[in-house]
Amino acid sequence: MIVPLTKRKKDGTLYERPDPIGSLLARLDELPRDEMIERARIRDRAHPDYVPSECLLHFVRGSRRDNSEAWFERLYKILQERVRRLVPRAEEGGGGASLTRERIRDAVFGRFDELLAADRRRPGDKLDFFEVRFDMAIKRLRLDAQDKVWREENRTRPVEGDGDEGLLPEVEAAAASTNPFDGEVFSDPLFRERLYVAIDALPPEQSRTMHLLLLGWPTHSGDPEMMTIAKALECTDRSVRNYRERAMKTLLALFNHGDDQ
Amino acid sequence: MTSNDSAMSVDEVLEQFMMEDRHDGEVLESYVRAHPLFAAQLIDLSRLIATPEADYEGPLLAIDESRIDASWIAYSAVAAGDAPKEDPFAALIGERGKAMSVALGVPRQVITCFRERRVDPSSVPAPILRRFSEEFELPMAHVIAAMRLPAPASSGRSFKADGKPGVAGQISFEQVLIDAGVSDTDRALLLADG
Repeated sequence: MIVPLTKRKKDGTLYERPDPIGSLLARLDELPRDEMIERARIRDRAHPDYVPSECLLHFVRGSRRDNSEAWFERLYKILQERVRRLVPRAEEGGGGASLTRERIRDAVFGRFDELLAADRRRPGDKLDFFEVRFDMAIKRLRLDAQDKVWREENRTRPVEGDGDEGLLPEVEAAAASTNPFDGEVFSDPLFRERLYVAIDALPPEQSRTMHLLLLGWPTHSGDPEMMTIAKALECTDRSVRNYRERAMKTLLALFNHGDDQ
Repeated sequence: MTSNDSAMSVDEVLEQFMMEDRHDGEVLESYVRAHPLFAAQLIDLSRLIATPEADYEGPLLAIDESRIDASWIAYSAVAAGDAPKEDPFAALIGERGKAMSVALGVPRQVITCFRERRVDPSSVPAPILRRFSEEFELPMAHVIAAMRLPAPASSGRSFKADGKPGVAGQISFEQVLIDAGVSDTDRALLLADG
Protein backbone atom coordinates (compact mmCIF):
# COMPACT_ATOMS: atom_id res chain seq x y z
CA MET A 1 0.00 0.00 0.00
CA ILE A 2 1.28 3.48 -0.83
CA VAL A 3 1.02 5.47 2.39
CA PRO A 4 -0.73 8.80 1.81
CA LEU A 5 0.87 12.10 2.70
CA THR A 6 -0.33 13.70 5.92
CA LYS A 7 0.77 17.31 5.61
CA ARG A 8 -2.00 19.82 5.16
CA LYS A 9 -2.08 22.95 3.08
CA LYS A 10 -3.25 26.22 4.54
CA ASP A 11 -6.77 25.50 3.31
CA GLY A 12 -6.84 22.27 5.30
CA THR A 13 -6.59 19.85 2.39
CA LEU A 14 -3.96 17.14 2.44
CA TYR A 15 -0.89 17.28 0.26
CA GLU A 16 -1.21 14.91 -2.64
CA ARG A 17 1.42 13.48 -4.90
CA PRO A 18 1.08 14.47 -8.57
CA ASP A 19 -0.91 11.81 -10.43
CA PRO A 20 2.07 10.54 -12.48
CA ILE A 21 4.08 10.07 -9.27
CA GLY A 22 1.21 8.29 -7.49
CA SER A 23 0.55 5.88 -10.32
CA LEU A 24 4.26 5.23 -10.90
CA LEU A 25 4.71 4.46 -7.19
CA ALA A 26 2.00 1.82 -7.38
CA ARG A 27 3.75 0.19 -10.34
CA LEU A 28 7.22 0.41 -8.79
CA ASP A 29 5.89 -1.15 -5.61
CA GLU A 30 5.20 -4.33 -7.59
CA LEU A 31 8.64 -4.53 -9.19
CA PRO A 32 11.29 -7.05 -8.11
CA ARG A 33 13.78 -5.14 -6.00
CA ASP A 34 16.78 -5.73 -8.26
CA GLU A 35 14.85 -4.30 -11.17
CA MET A 36 13.82 -1.32 -9.08
CA ILE A 37 17.46 -0.66 -8.18
CA GLU A 38 18.49 -0.87 -11.82
CA ARG A 39 15.85 1.68 -12.74
CA ALA A 40 16.77 3.93 -9.83
CA ARG A 41 20.33 4.10 -11.16
CA ILE A 42 19.17 5.70 -14.43
CA ARG A 43 20.20 9.35 -14.36
CA ASP A 44 18.74 10.51 -17.65
CA ARG A 45 15.46 12.17 -16.75
CA ALA A 46 14.18 11.67 -20.28
CA HIS A 47 14.66 7.88 -20.11
CA PRO A 48 11.29 6.05 -20.07
CA ASP A 49 12.37 3.97 -17.05
CA TYR A 50 13.69 6.91 -15.04
CA VAL A 51 12.50 6.87 -11.43
CA PRO A 52 11.85 10.40 -10.14
CA SER A 53 13.45 11.28 -6.81
CA GLU A 54 9.97 11.77 -5.34
CA CYS A 55 9.46 8.00 -5.72
CA LEU A 56 12.93 7.09 -4.44
CA LEU A 57 12.33 9.11 -1.32
CA HIS A 58 9.00 7.40 -0.78
CA PHE A 59 10.69 3.99 -0.69
CA VAL A 60 13.52 5.23 1.52
CA ARG A 61 10.96 6.56 4.00
CA GLY A 62 9.33 3.14 3.90
CA SER A 63 12.53 1.53 5.18
CA ARG A 64 11.22 1.76 8.72
CA ARG A 65 8.63 -0.85 7.84
CA ASP A 66 11.06 -3.27 6.28
CA ASN A 67 14.07 -5.22 7.45
CA SER A 68 15.87 -5.45 4.13
CA GLU A 69 18.78 -3.22 4.97
CA ALA A 70 20.85 -4.03 1.89
CA TRP A 71 18.05 -2.93 -0.41
CA PHE A 72 17.51 0.33 1.44
CA GLU A 73 21.21 1.06 1.63
CA ARG A 74 21.38 1.02 -2.15
CA LEU A 75 18.27 3.15 -2.55
CA TYR A 76 19.41 5.58 0.12
CA LYS A 77 22.80 6.05 -1.49
CA ILE A 78 21.32 6.58 -4.95
CA LEU A 79 19.00 9.23 -3.53
CA GLN A 80 21.85 10.94 -1.68
CA GLU A 81 23.96 10.91 -4.82
CA ARG A 82 21.17 12.66 -6.70
CA VAL A 83 20.98 15.35 -4.04
CA ARG A 84 24.71 15.93 -4.34
CA ARG A 85 24.37 16.30 -8.10
CA LEU A 86 21.53 18.79 -7.69
CA VAL A 87 23.41 21.29 -5.56
CA PRO A 88 26.01 23.24 -7.55
CA ARG A 89 29.59 22.37 -6.74
CA ALA A 90 32.24 24.89 -5.95
CA GLU A 91 34.42 25.88 -8.88
CA GLU A 92 37.90 24.44 -9.09
CA GLY A 93 40.62 26.69 -7.75
CA GLY A 94 39.15 27.76 -4.43
CA GLY A 95 38.60 31.41 -3.56
CA GLY A 96 36.01 33.05 -1.36
CA ALA A 97 33.02 32.37 -3.60
CA SER A 98 33.98 28.68 -3.89
CA LEU A 99 34.31 28.36 -0.15
CA THR A 100 30.88 29.92 0.31
CA ARG A 101 29.35 27.55 -2.18
CA GLU A 102 30.96 24.56 -0.52
CA ARG A 103 29.62 25.64 2.85
CA ILE A 104 26.15 26.00 1.36
CA ARG A 105 26.39 22.49 -0.10
CA ASP A 106 27.47 21.06 3.23
CA ALA A 107 24.59 22.79 4.99
CA VAL A 108 22.08 21.41 2.46
CA PHE A 109 23.35 17.85 2.85
CA GLY A 110 23.44 18.14 6.61
CA ARG A 111 19.85 19.36 6.74
CA PHE A 112 18.65 16.68 4.34
CA ASP A 113 20.32 14.01 6.50
CA GLU A 114 18.62 15.46 9.59
CA LEU A 115 15.21 15.40 7.94
CA LEU A 116 15.64 11.79 6.83
CA ALA A 117 16.82 10.67 10.26
CA ALA A 118 14.01 12.52 12.05
CA ASP A 119 11.46 10.96 9.72
CA ARG A 120 12.87 7.50 10.39
CA ARG A 121 12.87 8.08 14.13
CA ARG A 122 9.32 9.33 14.19
CA PRO A 123 7.31 9.54 10.98
CA GLY A 124 6.15 13.09 10.40
CA ASP A 125 5.19 15.34 7.53
CA LYS A 126 8.33 17.39 7.02
CA LEU A 127 9.40 15.32 4.02
CA ASP A 128 5.95 15.25 2.44
CA PHE A 129 6.66 18.18 0.15
CA PHE A 130 9.77 16.32 -1.10
CA GLU A 131 7.44 13.57 -2.34
CA VAL A 132 5.46 16.18 -4.27
CA ARG A 133 8.23 18.35 -5.79
CA PHE A 134 11.62 16.99 -4.85
CA ASP A 135 13.88 19.33 -6.83
CA MET A 136 12.04 22.37 -5.56
CA ALA A 137 12.29 21.10 -2.00
CA ILE A 138 16.06 20.81 -2.38
CA LYS A 139 16.12 24.39 -3.64
CA ARG A 140 14.26 25.37 -0.51
CA LEU A 141 17.00 23.72 1.55
CA ARG A 142 19.51 25.69 -0.49
CA LEU A 143 17.71 28.89 0.32
CA ASP A 144 17.91 28.21 4.06
CA ALA A 145 21.52 27.13 3.77
CA GLN A 146 22.63 30.18 1.81
CA ASP A 147 20.80 32.52 4.18
CA LYS A 148 22.64 30.95 7.07
CA VAL A 149 26.03 30.98 5.35
CA TRP A 150 25.63 34.55 4.07
CA ARG A 151 24.64 35.74 7.53
CA GLU A 152 27.67 34.07 9.08
CA GLU A 153 30.01 35.48 6.46
CA ASN A 154 28.59 38.97 6.77
CA ARG A 155 29.63 38.97 10.39
CA THR A 156 33.24 38.38 9.52
CA ARG A 157 33.78 40.48 6.44
CA PRO A 158 32.57 43.80 5.08
CA VAL A 159 29.21 43.47 3.42
CA GLU A 160 28.65 44.71 -0.06
CA GLY A 161 27.84 48.40 -0.06
CA ASP A 162 24.20 49.35 -0.27
CA GLY A 163 24.90 50.55 -3.73
CA ASP A 164 24.11 54.13 -2.85
CA GLU A 165 27.64 55.45 -2.60
CA GLY A 166 28.02 56.46 -6.23
CA LEU A 167 29.02 54.58 -9.31
CA LEU A 168 32.59 53.56 -9.95
CA PRO A 169 33.91 54.99 -13.23
CA GLU A 170 34.09 51.59 -14.94
CA VAL A 171 30.55 50.81 -13.79
CA GLU A 172 29.42 54.15 -15.14
CA ALA A 173 30.91 53.11 -18.46
CA ALA A 174 29.14 49.78 -18.40
CA ALA A 175 25.91 51.52 -17.51
CA ALA A 176 26.29 53.75 -20.50
CA SER A 177 26.96 50.86 -22.83
CA THR A 178 24.29 48.95 -24.69
CA ASN A 179 22.80 46.19 -22.62
CA PRO A 180 23.70 42.95 -24.46
CA PHE A 181 20.96 41.07 -22.61
CA ASP A 182 18.24 43.24 -24.02
CA GLY A 183 15.92 42.15 -26.76
CA GLU A 184 15.39 38.78 -28.36
CA VAL A 185 18.34 37.10 -26.73
CA PHE A 186 16.51 37.35 -23.41
CA SER A 187 13.73 35.14 -24.68
CA ASP A 188 16.10 32.37 -25.76
CA PRO A 189 15.55 29.66 -23.13
CA LEU A 190 19.09 28.28 -23.46
CA PHE A 191 20.59 31.71 -22.96
CA ARG A 192 18.34 32.36 -19.98
CA GLU A 193 19.49 29.10 -18.40
CA ARG A 194 23.14 30.09 -18.78
CA LEU A 195 22.35 33.53 -17.49
CA TYR A 196 20.59 32.21 -14.39
CA VAL A 197 23.50 29.91 -13.61
CA ALA A 198 25.79 32.95 -13.78
CA ILE A 199 23.41 35.08 -11.71
CA ASP A 200 23.44 32.36 -9.05
CA ALA A 201 27.06 33.21 -8.32
CA LEU A 202 26.48 36.97 -7.84
CA PRO A 203 26.21 38.67 -4.43
CA PRO A 204 22.66 38.54 -3.01
CA GLU A 205 21.56 42.10 -3.84
CA GLN A 206 22.84 41.83 -7.39
CA SER A 207 21.29 38.41 -8.00
CA ARG A 208 17.92 39.62 -6.67
CA THR A 209 18.05 42.71 -8.88
CA MET A 210 18.93 40.73 -11.99
CA HIS A 211 16.25 38.14 -11.33
CA LEU A 212 13.56 40.79 -10.89
CA LEU A 213 14.72 42.54 -14.06
CA LEU A 214 14.40 39.24 -15.91
CA LEU A 215 10.88 38.90 -14.54
CA GLY A 216 10.11 42.30 -16.02
CA TRP A 217 9.86 44.29 -12.80
CA PRO A 218 10.58 48.03 -13.18
CA THR A 219 13.47 49.49 -11.20
CA HIS A 220 11.37 52.48 -10.23
CA SER A 221 8.05 54.11 -11.05
CA GLY A 222 6.29 57.40 -10.65
CA ASP A 223 3.21 55.47 -9.61
CA PRO A 224 3.44 54.92 -5.84
CA GLU A 225 1.12 51.88 -6.10
CA MET A 226 3.31 50.06 -8.56
CA MET A 227 5.62 47.35 -7.22
CA THR A 228 9.23 48.08 -8.14
CA ILE A 229 12.56 46.46 -7.49
CA ALA A 230 13.55 49.32 -5.20
CA LYS A 231 10.40 48.91 -3.17
CA ALA A 232 10.77 45.14 -2.85
CA LEU A 233 14.42 45.38 -1.86
CA GLU A 234 13.76 48.37 0.40
CA CYS A 235 16.47 50.51 -1.14
CA THR A 236 16.73 53.56 -3.38
CA ASP A 237 16.38 53.58 -7.15
CA ARG A 238 20.01 54.55 -7.32
CA SER A 239 21.03 51.48 -5.34
CA VAL A 240 19.10 49.27 -7.73
CA ARG A 241 20.86 50.85 -10.71
CA ASN A 242 24.18 50.28 -9.03
CA TYR A 243 23.42 46.64 -8.28
CA ARG A 244 22.33 46.17 -11.84
CA GLU A 245 25.42 47.75 -13.36
CA ARG A 246 27.80 45.87 -11.12
CA ALA A 247 26.04 42.64 -11.98
CA MET A 248 26.11 43.49 -15.67
CA LYS A 249 29.83 44.16 -15.51
CA THR A 250 30.45 40.74 -13.97
CA LEU A 251 28.11 38.97 -16.37
CA LEU A 252 29.53 40.75 -19.41
CA ALA A 253 33.03 39.75 -18.43
CA LEU A 254 31.90 36.19 -17.87
CA PHE A 255 30.02 35.85 -21.13
CA ASN A 256 32.66 37.62 -23.19
CA HIS A 257 35.30 35.38 -21.67
CA GLY A 258 33.14 32.30 -22.26
CA ASP A 259 32.49 33.23 -25.86
CA ASP A 260 36.19 33.66 -26.50
CA GLN A 261 36.84 30.02 -25.60
CA MET B 1 -3.81 32.68 -4.31
CA THR B 2 -2.14 34.27 -1.33
CA SER B 3 -3.55 34.96 2.06
CA ASN B 4 -2.52 38.17 3.68
CA ASP B 5 -2.10 36.43 7.00
CA SER B 6 0.36 38.21 9.21
CA ALA B 7 0.46 35.19 11.50
CA MET B 8 2.02 33.03 8.81
CA SER B 9 5.61 32.05 9.39
CA VAL B 10 8.25 32.41 6.69
CA ASP B 11 8.22 28.62 6.26
CA GLU B 12 4.48 28.59 5.68
CA VAL B 13 4.67 31.45 3.20
CA LEU B 14 7.51 29.88 1.23
CA GLU B 15 5.85 26.48 1.18
CA GLN B 16 2.62 28.04 -0.03
CA PHE B 17 4.59 29.84 -2.74
CA MET B 18 6.26 26.58 -3.78
CA MET B 19 2.87 24.92 -4.16
CA GLU B 20 1.78 27.49 -6.75
CA ASP B 21 1.46 26.25 -10.31
CA ARG B 22 3.24 29.31 -11.69
CA HIS B 23 6.20 31.23 -10.30
CA ASP B 24 6.26 34.19 -12.67
CA GLY B 25 6.67 37.87 -11.86
CA GLU B 26 2.97 38.37 -11.25
CA VAL B 27 2.68 35.58 -8.67
CA LEU B 28 5.88 36.70 -6.97
CA GLU B 29 4.59 40.26 -6.80
CA SER B 30 1.37 39.15 -5.12
CA TYR B 31 3.39 37.32 -2.46
CA VAL B 32 5.79 40.20 -1.91
CA ARG B 33 2.84 42.55 -1.49
CA ALA B 34 1.11 40.18 0.92
CA HIS B 35 4.25 39.34 2.91
CA PRO B 36 6.69 42.24 2.57
CA LEU B 37 8.66 41.04 5.59
CA PHE B 38 9.68 37.95 3.66
CA ALA B 39 10.37 39.71 0.35
CA ALA B 40 14.06 38.78 0.24
CA GLN B 41 13.38 35.10 0.93
CA LEU B 42 10.58 35.03 -1.65
CA ILE B 43 12.74 36.67 -4.29
CA ASP B 44 15.66 34.36 -3.56
CA LEU B 45 13.43 31.29 -3.70
CA SER B 46 11.84 32.51 -6.92
CA ARG B 47 15.30 32.98 -8.41
CA LEU B 48 16.40 29.50 -7.34
CA ILE B 49 13.25 28.02 -8.88
CA ALA B 50 14.09 29.80 -12.15
CA THR B 51 17.67 28.53 -12.06
CA PRO B 52 18.04 25.23 -13.95
CA GLU B 53 18.88 22.13 -11.92
CA ALA B 54 22.61 21.67 -11.64
CA ASP B 55 22.32 17.91 -12.27
CA TYR B 56 26.07 17.46 -12.31
CA GLU B 57 26.98 14.70 -14.75
CA GLY B 58 30.55 13.81 -13.87
CA PRO B 59 31.86 11.38 -11.27
CA LEU B 60 31.22 12.29 -7.66
CA LEU B 61 34.14 13.60 -5.68
CA ALA B 62 35.70 11.19 -3.21
CA ILE B 63 34.61 13.45 -0.39
CA ASP B 64 30.99 13.22 -1.55
CA GLU B 65 31.23 9.43 -1.73
CA SER B 66 32.61 9.17 1.78
CA ARG B 67 30.00 11.58 3.12
CA ILE B 68 27.25 9.47 1.61
CA ASP B 69 28.71 6.36 3.28
CA ALA B 70 28.88 8.17 6.61
CA SER B 71 25.37 9.46 6.14
CA TRP B 72 24.06 5.92 5.57
CA ILE B 73 25.82 4.63 8.69
CA ALA B 74 24.21 7.37 10.74
CA TYR B 75 20.81 6.84 9.15
CA SER B 76 20.80 3.07 9.57
CA ALA B 77 21.76 3.49 13.22
CA VAL B 78 18.62 5.51 13.89
CA ALA B 79 16.02 3.31 15.51
CA ALA B 80 13.08 3.23 13.17
CA GLY B 81 9.79 4.43 14.58
CA ASP B 82 7.28 1.64 14.97
CA ALA B 83 4.88 1.22 12.14
CA PRO B 84 1.40 0.00 13.06
CA LYS B 85 1.52 -3.76 13.06
CA GLU B 86 -2.24 -4.06 13.24
CA ASP B 87 -5.30 -1.96 12.65
CA PRO B 88 -5.54 0.46 15.58
CA PHE B 89 -9.22 1.19 14.89
CA ALA B 90 -10.07 -2.46 15.49
CA ALA B 91 -9.58 -1.79 19.21
CA LEU B 92 -12.41 0.77 19.28
CA ILE B 93 -15.05 -1.65 20.47
CA GLY B 94 -16.87 -2.06 23.74
CA GLU B 95 -15.95 0.38 26.47
CA ARG B 96 -13.04 1.83 24.52
CA GLY B 97 -15.25 2.60 21.56
CA LYS B 98 -17.80 4.17 23.86
CA ALA B 99 -15.15 6.26 25.58
CA MET B 100 -13.87 7.46 22.23
CA SER B 101 -17.34 8.49 21.09
CA VAL B 102 -17.75 10.46 24.33
CA ALA B 103 -14.31 12.03 23.94
CA LEU B 104 -15.09 13.17 20.40
CA GLY B 105 -18.70 14.04 21.18
CA VAL B 106 -20.14 11.87 18.40
CA PRO B 107 -22.66 9.00 18.33
CA ARG B 108 -21.24 5.48 18.57
CA GLN B 109 -22.09 4.78 14.93
CA VAL B 110 -19.54 7.40 13.86
CA ILE B 111 -16.84 5.43 15.64
CA THR B 112 -18.14 2.30 13.94
CA CYS B 113 -17.77 4.04 10.58
CA PHE B 114 -14.12 4.80 11.39
CA ARG B 115 -13.60 1.19 12.45
CA GLU B 116 -15.11 -0.04 9.21
CA ARG B 117 -12.99 2.39 7.16
CA ARG B 118 -16.02 4.22 5.80
CA VAL B 119 -14.47 7.65 6.31
CA ASP B 120 -12.29 9.43 3.77
CA PRO B 121 -9.26 10.53 5.84
CA SER B 122 -8.69 13.65 3.76
CA SER B 123 -12.09 14.94 4.94
CA VAL B 124 -11.33 14.51 8.63
CA PRO B 125 -10.24 17.72 10.39
CA ALA B 126 -6.80 17.71 12.00
CA PRO B 127 -8.10 17.94 15.61
CA ILE B 128 -10.08 14.70 15.16
CA LEU B 129 -7.08 12.94 13.59
CA ARG B 130 -4.92 14.26 16.41
CA ARG B 131 -7.34 12.82 18.96
CA PHE B 132 -7.07 9.39 17.33
CA SER B 133 -3.31 9.81 17.16
CA GLU B 134 -3.22 10.42 20.92
CA GLU B 135 -5.60 7.58 21.64
CA PHE B 136 -3.54 5.08 19.65
CA GLU B 137 -0.21 6.66 20.58
CA LEU B 138 0.70 6.65 16.91
CA PRO B 139 1.93 9.37 14.56
CA MET B 140 -0.83 10.97 12.52
CA ALA B 141 0.65 9.43 9.36
CA HIS B 142 -0.10 5.98 10.71
CA VAL B 143 -3.63 6.93 11.67
CA ILE B 144 -4.30 8.13 8.14
CA ALA B 145 -2.58 5.08 6.68
CA ALA B 146 -4.81 2.83 8.81
CA MET B 147 -7.89 4.67 7.54
CA ARG B 148 -6.77 3.94 3.98
CA LEU B 149 -6.46 0.18 4.58
CA PRO B 150 -9.02 -2.07 2.87
CA ALA B 151 -12.23 -2.38 4.86
CA PRO B 152 -12.28 -5.30 7.31
CA ALA B 153 -13.95 -8.37 5.84
CA SER B 154 -16.41 -8.65 8.70
CA SER B 155 -18.00 -5.27 8.13
CA GLY B 156 -21.34 -6.08 6.63
CA ARG B 157 -23.25 -2.95 7.52
CA SER B 158 -25.01 -1.14 4.77
CA PHE B 159 -24.91 2.60 4.75
CA LYS B 160 -26.26 5.39 2.67
CA ALA B 161 -24.23 8.19 1.20
CA ASP B 162 -25.62 11.21 -0.51
CA GLY B 163 -22.27 12.95 -0.62
CA LYS B 164 -19.46 12.49 -3.04
CA PRO B 165 -17.71 9.17 -2.42
CA GLY B 166 -14.05 9.30 -1.46
CA VAL B 167 -11.25 6.85 -2.18
CA ALA B 168 -12.49 3.27 -2.55
CA GLY B 169 -16.07 4.16 -1.70
CA GLN B 170 -15.27 6.09 1.43
CA ILE B 171 -17.51 9.01 2.30
CA SER B 172 -16.71 12.32 3.88
CA PHE B 173 -16.61 12.80 7.62
CA GLU B 174 -19.30 15.42 7.24
CA GLN B 175 -21.57 12.94 5.49
CA VAL B 176 -20.99 10.40 8.28
CA LEU B 177 -22.04 13.03 10.82
CA ILE B 178 -25.16 13.89 8.78
CA ASP B 179 -26.08 10.21 8.51
CA ALA B 180 -25.62 9.84 12.25
CA GLY B 181 -28.04 12.70 12.87
CA VAL B 182 -25.50 15.09 14.38
CA SER B 183 -27.01 18.56 14.67
CA ASP B 184 -25.84 21.42 12.48
CA THR B 185 -24.27 23.18 15.45
CA ASP B 186 -22.35 20.11 16.65
CA ARG B 187 -21.34 19.34 13.10
CA ALA B 188 -19.88 22.80 12.66
CA LEU B 189 -17.85 22.35 15.84
CA LEU B 190 -16.61 18.91 14.81
CA LEU B 191 -15.66 20.09 11.35
CA ALA B 192 -13.70 23.09 12.56
CA ASP B 193 -10.07 22.61 11.57
CA GLY B 194 -8.36 24.32 14.37
